[in-house]
Amino acid sequence: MTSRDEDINSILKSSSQINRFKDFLKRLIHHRKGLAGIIIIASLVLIAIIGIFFAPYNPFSTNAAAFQPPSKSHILGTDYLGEDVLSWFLIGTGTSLMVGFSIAVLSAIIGVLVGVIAGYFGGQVDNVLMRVVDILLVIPGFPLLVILSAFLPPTLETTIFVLSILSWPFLSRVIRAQTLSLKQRQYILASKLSGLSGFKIISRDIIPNLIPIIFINAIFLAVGGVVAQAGLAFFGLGDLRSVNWGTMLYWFEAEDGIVFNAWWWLLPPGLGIVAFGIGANFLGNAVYELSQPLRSGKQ
Amino acid sequence: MITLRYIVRRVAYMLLTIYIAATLDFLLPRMVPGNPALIILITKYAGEFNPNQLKIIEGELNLRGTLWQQYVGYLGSIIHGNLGPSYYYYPESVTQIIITRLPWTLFLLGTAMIISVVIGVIIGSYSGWKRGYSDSFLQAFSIGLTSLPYFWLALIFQLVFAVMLVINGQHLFPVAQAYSINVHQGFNLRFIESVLHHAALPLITLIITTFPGFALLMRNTVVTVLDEDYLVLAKAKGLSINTIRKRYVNKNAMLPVSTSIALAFASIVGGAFLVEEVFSYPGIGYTLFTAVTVSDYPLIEGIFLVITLTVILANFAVDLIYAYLDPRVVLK
Amino acid sequence: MSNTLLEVKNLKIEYRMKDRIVRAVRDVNLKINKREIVGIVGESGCGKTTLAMSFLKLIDPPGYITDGKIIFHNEGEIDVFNLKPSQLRKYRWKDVSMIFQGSMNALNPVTKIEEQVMDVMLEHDYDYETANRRVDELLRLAGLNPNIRKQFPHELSGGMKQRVNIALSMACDAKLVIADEATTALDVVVQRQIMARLLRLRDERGISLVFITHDISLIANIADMVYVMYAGKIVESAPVKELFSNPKHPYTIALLNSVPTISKEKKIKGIPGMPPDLAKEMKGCPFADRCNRVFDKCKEEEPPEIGIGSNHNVSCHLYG
Repeated sequence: MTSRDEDINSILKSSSQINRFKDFLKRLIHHRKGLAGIIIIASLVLIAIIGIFFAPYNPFSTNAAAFQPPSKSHILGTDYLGEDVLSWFLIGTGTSLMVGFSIAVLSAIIGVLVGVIAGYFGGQVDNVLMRVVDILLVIPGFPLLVILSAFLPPTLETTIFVLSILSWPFLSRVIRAQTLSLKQRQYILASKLSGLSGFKIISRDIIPNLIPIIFINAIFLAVGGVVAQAGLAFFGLGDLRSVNWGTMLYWFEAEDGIVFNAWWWLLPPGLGIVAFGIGANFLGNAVYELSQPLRSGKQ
Repeated sequence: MITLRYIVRRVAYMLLTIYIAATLDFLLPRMVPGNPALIILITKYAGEFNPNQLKIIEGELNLRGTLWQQYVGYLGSIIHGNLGPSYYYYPESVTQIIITRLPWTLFLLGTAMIISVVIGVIIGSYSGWKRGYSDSFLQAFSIGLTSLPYFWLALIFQLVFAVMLVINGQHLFPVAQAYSINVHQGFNLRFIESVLHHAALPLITLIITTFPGFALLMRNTVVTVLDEDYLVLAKAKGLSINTIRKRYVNKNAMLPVSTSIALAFASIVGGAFLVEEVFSYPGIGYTLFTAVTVSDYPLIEGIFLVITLTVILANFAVDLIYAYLDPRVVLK
Repeated sequence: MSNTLLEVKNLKIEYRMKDRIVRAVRDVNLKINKREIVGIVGESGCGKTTLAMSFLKLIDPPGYITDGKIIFHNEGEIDVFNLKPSQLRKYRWKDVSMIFQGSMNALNPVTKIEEQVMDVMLEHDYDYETANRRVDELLRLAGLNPNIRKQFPHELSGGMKQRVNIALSMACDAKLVIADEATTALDVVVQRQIMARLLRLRDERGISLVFITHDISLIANIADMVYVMYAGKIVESAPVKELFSNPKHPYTIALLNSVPTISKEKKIKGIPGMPPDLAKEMKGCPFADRCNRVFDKCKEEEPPEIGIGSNHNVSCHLYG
């Protein structure tokens, strides 16, 4: 192929890819659940952004009385130190989401790399990689999380790292299976015959087809990550000085929020997690349904 | 169908996993700076000890000799069930602590799992059979329920039912613990009553978050099965609806559910730990929490090992049950 | 005493889909006598399976029986479509049974063969010991070693599974057995064996058989009476010898011409065109588009059923 042909090809391809993407977005917006999911998640992101700039109080300022129910000056009341719960929630949303997305991205990168390499190249590489995956999958997750978090430095980075380590194996299995099935398809064989190198084939042909699956899994990884991080924080693991949904609940439990009936402190972080979960669920399901080719009905 | 070969392979696999878990257990604490034996002595005896004591504790903690010697010694003691002494509860051994606490966790896990599966299967089967209204409601319900973090739900229940709701001057449910202080342990009615009363909220939390998954799975499976050819034949044979439901639909639909029980175990363990913490329920989950707070490394490792073993054994049991139920399965 | 076992009168069945209505069976009439083997032949999609299912009232939404009745004669007349559910369950399998197409999947994968053969007997009030004994008899009747009763369906070959289905069909001594493409998925050798079995069943047990297939050569070997079905209607019916020596309807003729013979050289001709879309309203004769002897009236008026000689009926304007 001349370089001019290649240019034309890549222009055609990228424009059609952009078009396909735009078209896909349109369909997604028209999908009821998909739209709801997008709105929910966008709202949370918005809250996070608002938190950074417009939080009413510094979350660590303790000027108010402790355990105050919601009032005009403190819309969500105060916690055990008199800190403003609303500010904690606004800023905490950002931190929690950031953690979730980071985990999703990190797990996705590792998972996709491992999965595609194992699936595409097969043989010994595949065997070794899948053995590792199997072992990681068999060890029960939560205890492993606890033990790793207990021994490694207590920072958010550790939490993200540890949770990613536990999340990528499952994804890599899924990706590997998809890669295997894609490998058989005609156009891959055609590309192979035309002498393209493995990596080129992978990036041009395989990965674009994996994008829906990757995205869907990434969404659920993000949710899982948020929930898991909250759980770890609740257990006293991870960075306890961070402001996020999990630490809010940790302090609630550690400082006997129950005794003070402090529901205003208990509800927001949990609702945040639930909202994110539902939003992600809707969005993920919508993308899944839309990415399925039309099936013929049973006769 | 179960073959001897399958059992052998599975046991080998289990042992491999335990081995890896144990090795991890061995390596991790040794990556943390500091001499654990010293830590114990300082914590417990406020710095007043003699060098001999140090040597003894180091021996108990397996810190003497080369790394390899320690490793071998460690593996050896594990096989004998000796998981070392706990820092926090010194001189109680980890094994002792775990043995007293583990039954409570198993009680929660087992009961919650069984009830969740039963409820889930019944609802799912009904929903798949009927379709229509109950169906979409179930799906929405499940999405909502599975997004709930265990511990948050537990806290809410605790807040509402054990603290806020007061009927006739009495709280509806106890706030914490496995049984009341003023009740005598043993097989008497009051004790059992107390245990059940205290277990109610933790169990409800676990069950509510677990059963929707099963219900949804069962429902989907039933829908698939209803489309199968052998269902048509069953109808053509003039079999009663009950027979068809039991022998043809449910029996087939239960299979994927059984496999997912293994997966559910992994997640319900995490849930149980969190719930224990909320309710101060004296299982190994709560103990783990305490151990983390006081950095009691031997205890943390011991619990990790035990829990890993439990989950693996549970999975194995489920696999066997599945192989027994599905005649088509040829286990590799 | 009349010789009629089952009658189908003016049967109309349609499937109501989201955007269209498929009329699978349009005004079918047929009669099955005792000890008779009736062949129903037609292309895929002509409505024959739907017809077969209606004998046992197995038509469920989105399928609806919009007209007609099926009368089964057994010490009195049974109007199948008006049976109460419990009566219907009694009728099913005891009076009429069926061997399904694609029997690969017709057996319950998680129950043993013996259980599946026994459950229907127990349902129809055979006692346990009798049912247990009969399992062996029935399996032998189908040419199977009774030892397979302890096995699961996936352990059997396709041919064996089909034989189990044959055994099953006789479990309650039904008087009429419907074989819907019962041999289609099997190789020719097994096909022959199965058909021989079915013939024996009729000879020894006096059952009637409805043999549904798209393969007209199979019909020649087994049937006494043949109905040719096209686009949901019966276009010709005659005793087998008559049909093969004296076919009248252009479709029948075309079908016969499309079968290769070993003995003499024959030009094999396919039938041009495609089977009609059953969702569309049809005017005139459904075969008009593909008929080589079509004329104007064919496209305007639907041909009535015309009798031409001993039990031979055609729906074609050529003979009106």
